[in-house]
Amino acid sequence: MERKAKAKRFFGDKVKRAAHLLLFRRGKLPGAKDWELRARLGDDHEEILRQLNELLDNVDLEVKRVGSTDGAASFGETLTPESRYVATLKGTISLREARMCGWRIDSLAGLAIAVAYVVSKQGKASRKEVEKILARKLGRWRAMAMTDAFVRAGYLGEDESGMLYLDWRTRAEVDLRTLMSALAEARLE
Amino acid sequence: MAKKLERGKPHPAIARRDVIDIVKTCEAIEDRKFNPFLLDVKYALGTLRKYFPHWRELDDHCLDAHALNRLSRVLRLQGSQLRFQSSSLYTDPAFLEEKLTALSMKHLAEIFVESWHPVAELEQITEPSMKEAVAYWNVLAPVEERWKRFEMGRSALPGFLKTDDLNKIGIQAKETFEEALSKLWKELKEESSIGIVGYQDFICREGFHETVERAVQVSFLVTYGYARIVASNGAVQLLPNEEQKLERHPVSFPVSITHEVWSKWKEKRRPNASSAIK
Repeated sequence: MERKAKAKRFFGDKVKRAAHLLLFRRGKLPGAKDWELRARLGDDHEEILRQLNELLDNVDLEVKRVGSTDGAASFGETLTPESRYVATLKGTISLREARMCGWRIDSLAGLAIAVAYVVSKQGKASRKEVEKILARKLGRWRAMAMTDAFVRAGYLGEDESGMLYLDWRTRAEVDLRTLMSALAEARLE
Repeated sequence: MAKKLERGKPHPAIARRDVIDIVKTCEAIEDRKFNPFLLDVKYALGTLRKYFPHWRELDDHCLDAHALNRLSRVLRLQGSQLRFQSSSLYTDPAFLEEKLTALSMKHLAEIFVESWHPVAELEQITEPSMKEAVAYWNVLAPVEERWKRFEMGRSALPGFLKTDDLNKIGIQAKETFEEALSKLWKELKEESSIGIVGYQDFICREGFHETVERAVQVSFLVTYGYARIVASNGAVQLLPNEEQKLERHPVSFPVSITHEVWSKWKEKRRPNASSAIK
């Protein structure tokens, strides 16, 4: 009986606090870490996030948990206290909207190429190879600059041996299955 | 019987080389240069097993353990590749490369936004960032003062550039780099038919810029195997090859040419040049 009452509980204030933590950027990266949410919201933080998720659903947003990797791991991610919760768009945006958010079409195309290529290489490809394939479309200098930009933004990570892997932002933002199947099904012009 | 065993004992150097080859192949696979299934792990293990009873030194045992460790990592990669290929993410890299090259930028961007769910975040003003901004604006000089730095007087009227001007500023080259290299190779061959060609004498010219340019071109000739550098009696000589001949084990030979070095070369060259004229 007591458990039932607990399940129906609505954490009004805590949901607001969770929204603040996830939506307002405080450090270098957006969102909040698992341990941080636990410390600020208490042990029920998962339930609070579920309730927040229901509210955000009305405005086409959702709470997503991004596991941490050791960098070398390709697709596998482990859920640890260092895992990060972020609020992402649930649906998708149009190309026009993306341009209005400050993205250039060639940057988005470059990101698609880089991410898809790294995925096809099982989540890890040498920087040279990625730059080479980008250079075919964008030219050598732009390919190098763009790769740097993707690494800075957190879409790609780079290890000491110059290998690129999919970093936290790709894992949070990109639906790899949809991307790969859309690319495979795309008709050549 | 003892003789038979002795005959079956592999030479340590050959055994070490084989094990090092296995380690190098494993490393190349780990660096994604080759497909993990390129390595026949069973055969490699057989090789390690064959040599293991003959190792006597600690270094050899360490090498054996290192090779075994690398093989285990290749096995892990083989496993992850199998898992990956059975997942829906698998696409043949060659096929994908072809697709990515053939699709237009707009089409690629459209495909990407269909699978893209960007993070929603709000950047906010904090006390430290406000303090930083106020400090910046307080230090910043007014626009009039800042523009004063760029007052360069009246600019020249627009005009036309001639081919010589383009050559001078390096936009247009009189000859391609390959043409310049073949010209220099020919020159080297002609000079070496007369006598020994010293590296400094061949490179040094009246202008510093020209000297550096020749040094760069000579470095390309040597790298591409059209010439070789030989040290003899403390002097560095330049020998042309009749055909392109690439070195199996190339060695780097850095040459630093500063303005002072060039001036010294030029001074040295002068008496030689005058004696040659005499």
